[in-house]
Amino acid sequence: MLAIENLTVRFGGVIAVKALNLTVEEGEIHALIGPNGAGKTTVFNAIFQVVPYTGGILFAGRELRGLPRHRLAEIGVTRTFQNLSIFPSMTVRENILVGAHSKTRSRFVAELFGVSGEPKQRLTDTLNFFGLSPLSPAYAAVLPYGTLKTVELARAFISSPKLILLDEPAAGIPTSEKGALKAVIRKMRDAGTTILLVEHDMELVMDISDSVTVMDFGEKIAEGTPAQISADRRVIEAYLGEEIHAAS
Amino acid sequence: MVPSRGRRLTANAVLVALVLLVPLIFRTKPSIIGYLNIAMLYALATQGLNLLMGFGGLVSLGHAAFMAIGGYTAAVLVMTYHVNMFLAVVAGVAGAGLFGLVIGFPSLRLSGFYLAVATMALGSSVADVIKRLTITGGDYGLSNIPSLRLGPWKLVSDASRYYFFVIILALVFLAVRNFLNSRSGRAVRAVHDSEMTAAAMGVNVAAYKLITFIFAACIAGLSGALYAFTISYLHPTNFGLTFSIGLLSMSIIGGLGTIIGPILGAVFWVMLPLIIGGKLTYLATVIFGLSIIGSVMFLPKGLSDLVTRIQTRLKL
Ligand SMILES: Nc1ncnc2c1ncn2[C@@H]1O[C@H](COP(=O)(O)OP(=O)(O)O)[C@@H](O)[C@H]1O
Ligand SMILES: [Mg+2]
Repeated sequence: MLAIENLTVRFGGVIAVKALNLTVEEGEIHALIGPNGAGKTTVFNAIFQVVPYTGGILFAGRELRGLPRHRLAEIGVTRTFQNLSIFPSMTVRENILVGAHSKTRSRFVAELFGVSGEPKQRLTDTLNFFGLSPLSPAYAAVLPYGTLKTVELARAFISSPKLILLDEPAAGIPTSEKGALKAVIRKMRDAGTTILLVEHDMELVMDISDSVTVMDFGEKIAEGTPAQISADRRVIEAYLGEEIHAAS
Repeated sequence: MVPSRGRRLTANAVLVALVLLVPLIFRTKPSIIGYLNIAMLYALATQGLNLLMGFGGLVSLGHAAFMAIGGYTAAVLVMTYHVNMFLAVVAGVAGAGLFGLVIGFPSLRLSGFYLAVATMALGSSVADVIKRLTITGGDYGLSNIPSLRLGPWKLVSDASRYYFFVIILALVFLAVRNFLNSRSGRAVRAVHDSEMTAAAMGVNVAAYKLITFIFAACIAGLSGALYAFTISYLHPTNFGLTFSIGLLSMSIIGGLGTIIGPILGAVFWVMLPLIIGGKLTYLATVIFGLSIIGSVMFLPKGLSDLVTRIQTRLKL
């Protein structure tokens, strides 16, 4: 589904990602973990053509280099952002509808007359999928952080993408809501969307991931199943004793 | 208190009735209607500027140039080439839209202060070019522009023009509102909130910036064309930087990012000197200055904030 080959990203003197190889299989939840500053978000930005890079990034066999940023949604790749990037001036409904931009067309004259129509079924299904229906008319600016994280997931999912990049979906979420978050990520995967997940919450990562890649200082230091990763000596060192639980 | 639909409908009906009765109320003072007509033409232009700045997050300090292009194109087509007035207005709108595309290009690379300077330079150059052309009457201006007509009817009286402009303004108001609530309008607002996020959602950021400029320019072009046939006189210096800043001030005083704001701002701008009247007219400039500071500091949504407060008070 996604093949990253020998990816290197430099910011001036800093090498943020160094000769990274990474393969995400269709239909899996693939976690990309590593300490702060390891280069995980930079990998997402390279996929989205936001930062210059060397190496190859292939999605469904297609080289992404040179593709205009806004075309990624169209070919089936969407993302969320580490520091939550909701459109604050819009309602929940409008935020999610922007996510459907690539799946709809504009007819300018119809829009002026207010008869252009919206992807109603898609919107209703997405609102229900994420349990957001009652909040649909609320302005994003007044909603709590955790809810907005869900809105961001819904916005990335409404276009039925083949691949979603999630950047720390559990950050800032109260522990009590993490179970629901896990369930919804699994549900997205079960609906046919492949997921590349950057996350610091090891309990969550080990519980829901099918495979895990570990980065440190821009380089891949390990990859494997959650069980293999939690037993890996280099991984444990990189996290400096941070506890890593394997699920089951 | 939940606003009741019935009360709101009643309030809207009262408002519409008031607007329609204005020419009768001021029957003995037709000049007031004349000023309101100008205010409505300015309100058209600020509606576009507000779309650009309030919703698109883009800056234009050359907005008067779009009015000039719309006005001169329409007037010259009618006077020199005897084109039908309706088609001339359409051509004026299209000409302004085309120039909107040109002025829009810097916005793909520049933002904030730099975009303001770029649009200011491009905008001011239009008045300079018009001044040097023969077909536009050059520095003498263009006078004796025929009066507005609607098919067989000449709209000569201020009252007839008043009703015509009310209809045009209402149509543009609705079109802008519908646009903002459509897929394209949401894309424009998304680009304002975050370009990177909008792009990740599939929004072609550059295309929507240009669309916003073109749309705003077309509305200003319409304003300019109607202005030409209303005032019957055009002069390049009326469309320079000063007027661009005037339009900007009206938008800010009325309330950027609201749809009703541009109308309130334009009416305030045109009517204030009249209300003060007599020897104190010069005070108007001072009051405008203070109003801009006041709206920036206390009413971020300008005069439209006052409307919202009144609505809340009256539980509409
Ligand atoms: N746009 C940028 N310009 C300069 N340096 C950057 C930029 N983005 C990231 N970096 C640097 O690249 C490294 C990796 O950052 P990042 O990918 O955000 O790490 P992670 O997401 O794994 O915490 C860090 O040293 C960071 O400071
Ligand atoms: Mg990160």
